[in-house]
Amino acid sequence: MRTCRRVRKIILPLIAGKLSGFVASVRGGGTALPGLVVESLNPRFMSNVTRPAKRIILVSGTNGKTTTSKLIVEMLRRSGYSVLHNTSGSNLRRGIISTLLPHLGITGRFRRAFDFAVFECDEFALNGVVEELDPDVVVLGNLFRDQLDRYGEVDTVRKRWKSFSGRPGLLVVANGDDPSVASVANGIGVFYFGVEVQGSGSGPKDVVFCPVCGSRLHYSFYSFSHLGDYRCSRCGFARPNPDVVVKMDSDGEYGIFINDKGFPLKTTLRGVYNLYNVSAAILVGAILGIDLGDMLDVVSAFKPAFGRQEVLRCCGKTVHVILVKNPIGFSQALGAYLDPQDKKNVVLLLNDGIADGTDVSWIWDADVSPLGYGVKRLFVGGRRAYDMGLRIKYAGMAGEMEFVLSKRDLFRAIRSVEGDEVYVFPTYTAMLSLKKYFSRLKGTRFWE
Amino acid sequence: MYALTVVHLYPNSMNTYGDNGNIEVLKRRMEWRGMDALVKFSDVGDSIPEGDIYFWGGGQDISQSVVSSDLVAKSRFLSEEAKKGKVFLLICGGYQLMGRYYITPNGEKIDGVGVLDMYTVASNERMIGNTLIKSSLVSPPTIVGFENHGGKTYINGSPLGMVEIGFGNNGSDGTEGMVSGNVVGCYQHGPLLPKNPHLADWLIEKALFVKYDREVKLAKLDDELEWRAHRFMLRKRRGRFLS
Repeated sequence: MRTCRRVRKIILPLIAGKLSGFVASVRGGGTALPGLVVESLNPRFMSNVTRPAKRIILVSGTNGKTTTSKLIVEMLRRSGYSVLHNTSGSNLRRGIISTLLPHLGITGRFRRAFDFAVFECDEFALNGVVEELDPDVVVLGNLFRDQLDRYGEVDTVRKRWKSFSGRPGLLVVANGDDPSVASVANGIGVFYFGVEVQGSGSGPKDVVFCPVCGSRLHYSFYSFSHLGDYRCSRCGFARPNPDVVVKMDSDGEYGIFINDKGFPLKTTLRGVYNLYNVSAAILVGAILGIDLGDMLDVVSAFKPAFGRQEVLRCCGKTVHVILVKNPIGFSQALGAYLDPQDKKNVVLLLNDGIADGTDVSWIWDADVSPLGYGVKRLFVGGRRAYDMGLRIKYAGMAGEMEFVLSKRDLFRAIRSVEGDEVYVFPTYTAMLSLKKYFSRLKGTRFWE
Repeated sequence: MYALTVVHLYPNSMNTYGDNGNIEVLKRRMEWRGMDALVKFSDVGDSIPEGDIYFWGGGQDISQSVVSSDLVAKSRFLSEEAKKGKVFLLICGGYQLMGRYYITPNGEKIDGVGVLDMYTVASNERMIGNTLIKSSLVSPPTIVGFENHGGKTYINGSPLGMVEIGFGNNGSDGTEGMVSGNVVGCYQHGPLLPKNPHLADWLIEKALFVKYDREVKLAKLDDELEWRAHRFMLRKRRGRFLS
């Protein structure tokens, strides 16, 4: 590359990015700021620098990116590989660039060659990142309605993804149980994962029509929402046979089947949606040649990532924090945690920031019925607490709902419950504020 | 004992953006007043049962063309129900398909039921954000919602209201939605009714009037939470209005 072009495309953005990163770290916060600075100076920065790792894996989908990519990273590290990985929340292009910056020399060469780079990537940003990073593997987890105000529709993302399937040299690892995803990935170089375990509650359904011809899909089995075993009566589009699948035996024990050979699967992760994350990670590991014993060990020891399911000690109680961001995640989380035999103290925190989704109507597509049978005391907070309150009121929940509209109210509420455990279900920015607030209180302990 | 039948049109084919919450609201507000609310469903390939209130929500583009073919056989029934004064609540896609026609992004013209004298043209711009509508249909005269649509609708008749914040029907003429007799259509998600209980009750009252041939006064409900939620959205206009 000619010098003046190199200065413009690489050196200048790099300097600006690193400087802003330094400033941001001194002031506190702003993980994607350096990437944003670089991106505004050169949007195609990633295609102008050298390759960050020998092999690059991108993980995308509406739910489960963080958990799936963390599983893959742990499996790779356990096998002795060096892995570059972006933290959750940095999954737009600018976030990925921010992750690369500290490892780049001023001329645009990486200081060390990582064996692997595993990046979780936002569904909408995926096409551009595939173009620029030229990955070896792309994992397509699922497509649910999420942050509708950003994407408009599930179909839009699906059509965008179709344009990179069939890219030479790219292996696609796709959730075959999701008709939208299965319709994207076709042809050579595709592997499928699935789950044949029925989740609690049916939950709302997004896709009912065949993505290929538009007729209704018929299901012989639903794992949850629109995931399951489907077939189109008109054009024959159907669930592909999964290469890796999780099943449950008659004793309720999970097993993972790789090309029809079964192995016992132990995990502390809860909910059918997490079985999909495990299935995906194991399929990726199998493709990369990772030892199965190592993979199963990683899964059984796996602790969930930042905020997704986290436990901390605060306000004199054990506080469980389970992030919710869309109808499916919310329905599944409530169904997985709430049990009529063991009622729990629950806090719901609904915000409407950009990262939460400014359109909160998604709560009306969630199945909140577990709140009717599994709750001791119910607290509702966040900026859109009243909307959540209305959702609960119109779901016919006769019980008492208490509003906690300030952090002080929340603190007092948690302290006041009977028993030791409290379960908080926040949306993204509410979770961030919660953790920030708790970390300032004396005596808070975070367990990772 | 008063009873109303609510018919949910295309509940599986067109049910994005939480619009089915509107059915919950209608149902509960009747039950809380000791009335019977029966909800029936009618989707692609089903016949439409007779109802007092018809609800039709929004959907994704792929659904809209499948539904529009299904609509051909059902248009006449729906037009006649509207002529009889039956109540219709139409949101987004449902609103568009009850108009005269809809021009798709490919330039294809899809016929609507034709009950509302309006037409819609798909556009590449997406009109998204919290909205505030001034409407003389209800008291107090404010309606709060959230819109998310690419279609631009041009009406020949009375709007539901005028846009104070947001885009409304087409982003240029300041109108939002349309009302024709007891047919109410608009682009408001949210869903619409939980934070606008006065509109929910307007729909219920009209349906009772048509069915029982006299005015039925609705008992007041404890709507404190609804109005707190409504007023919270009004307050947003003073500061930065999130889009």
